[in-house]
Amino acid sequence: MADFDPEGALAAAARGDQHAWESIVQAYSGLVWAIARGYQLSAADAADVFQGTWLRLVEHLGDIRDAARLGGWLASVARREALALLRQASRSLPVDDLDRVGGGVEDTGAAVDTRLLRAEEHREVWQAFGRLSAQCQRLLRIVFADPPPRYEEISAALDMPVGSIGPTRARCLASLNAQLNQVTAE
Amino acid sequence: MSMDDEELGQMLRDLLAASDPVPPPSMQAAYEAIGWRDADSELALLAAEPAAAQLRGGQSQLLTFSSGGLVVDLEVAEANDGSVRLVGQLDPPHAAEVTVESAGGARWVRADDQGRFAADGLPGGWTRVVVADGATRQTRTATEWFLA
Repeated sequence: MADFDPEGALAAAARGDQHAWESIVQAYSGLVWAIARGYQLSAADAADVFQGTWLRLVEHLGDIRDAARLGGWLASVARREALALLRQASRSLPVDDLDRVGGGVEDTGAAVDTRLLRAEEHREVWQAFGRLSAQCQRLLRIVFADPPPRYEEISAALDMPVGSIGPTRARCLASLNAQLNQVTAE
Repeated sequence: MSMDDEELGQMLRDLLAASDPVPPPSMQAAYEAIGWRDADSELALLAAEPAAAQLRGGQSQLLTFSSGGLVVDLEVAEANDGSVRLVGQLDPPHAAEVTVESAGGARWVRADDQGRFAADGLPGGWTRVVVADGATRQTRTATEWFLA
C-alpha cells in the first residue's frame, strides 16, 4: 500500500477511471471485509455489507474532500451497514458461524499446504481465537486485516477512541495467549 | 505454546487471510460497482429509520428518500417466490420515468400523474430508484442504495 495515493485515486475514480477505482478497492477490501465479518455476519450478509460499502463510495466519490481520511470513511460506512443488518435479527447468525469458518482451515488446500509445519499451530490459534469474547474477536480481525489498517481506520471501524485501541489490543492478545495455552494443554 | 504479541499477531494475520479472505465474486462485484457512478443525478437520502410493516402476511419495509424538491416513498415487499415487489409514490405527485436498478440490471416503469409506480419480480439485494422528471427530463434524482 506504500505507493497507493488516495487523493489521486479518488480524483481519477470520480472521472470514471476503472484502474484507479480498483486500486481503491484493493487497498481497503481487507479492512471492509474484516469489519463485516467482525460483526459476526454470515458470509451472505457480509457480502452485502461489503458491496453496499463500495456502492456508497461510488455515490459519494465527488464529495469526499479529505482523501487522507478515505479509509476511516469506508470503515464508518461498513460499520453502519453491518449494524443495520444486525438489527434485522432474522438475518443475523449465531456466534458459532465462526466455527464453520475455522473448520475451513483444516480442509483448505493450497494456502495451508505451503505451511504444513505451521498447520497444527494455526489450528490451535484458530481454536483459541474462537473462545475469545465477541469484542476481542472483532478488534483482532480488524487490527490484523491485510493490509494493516491505520489507527484512525480501526477507530472508525469500532467506534472506539484511538487511545483505547493499543490497550484493548494488548488485552485481547493476552487473552488469546491464555486461551492458546489452555488449548495446547488439553 | 506461548508467543509474544508480534508472533501471535503475524500468525493471526496469516490465518485470517488464508481462512476467511474476501470471496472472489465479492471482489469482482466491488470492481464493477464504479459502473453505477451517476454524477448527474441528485442524491435522495434516506429520511428516517426504515419502518418494518406486516402486510398481507409478508414482511415489508417502508422507506422514505428525499432530495431538495422531491420525496420518494417506497414500500419494499418480498413475494412468496422470493422476488421483490416495489410500490412507490412521488411527492409532489407527478408523472415521471422511473428506473429501478439492481445487480440484476435495470427496469423501467412509469409513474402515473398521481406519482404512483410499481415494479415486481425484482431480484432483491442492493437496489436504487432513479426518477427522471417526465416534463423536463433535465432533473434526475437517484435514491441512495437500499437492501431490498
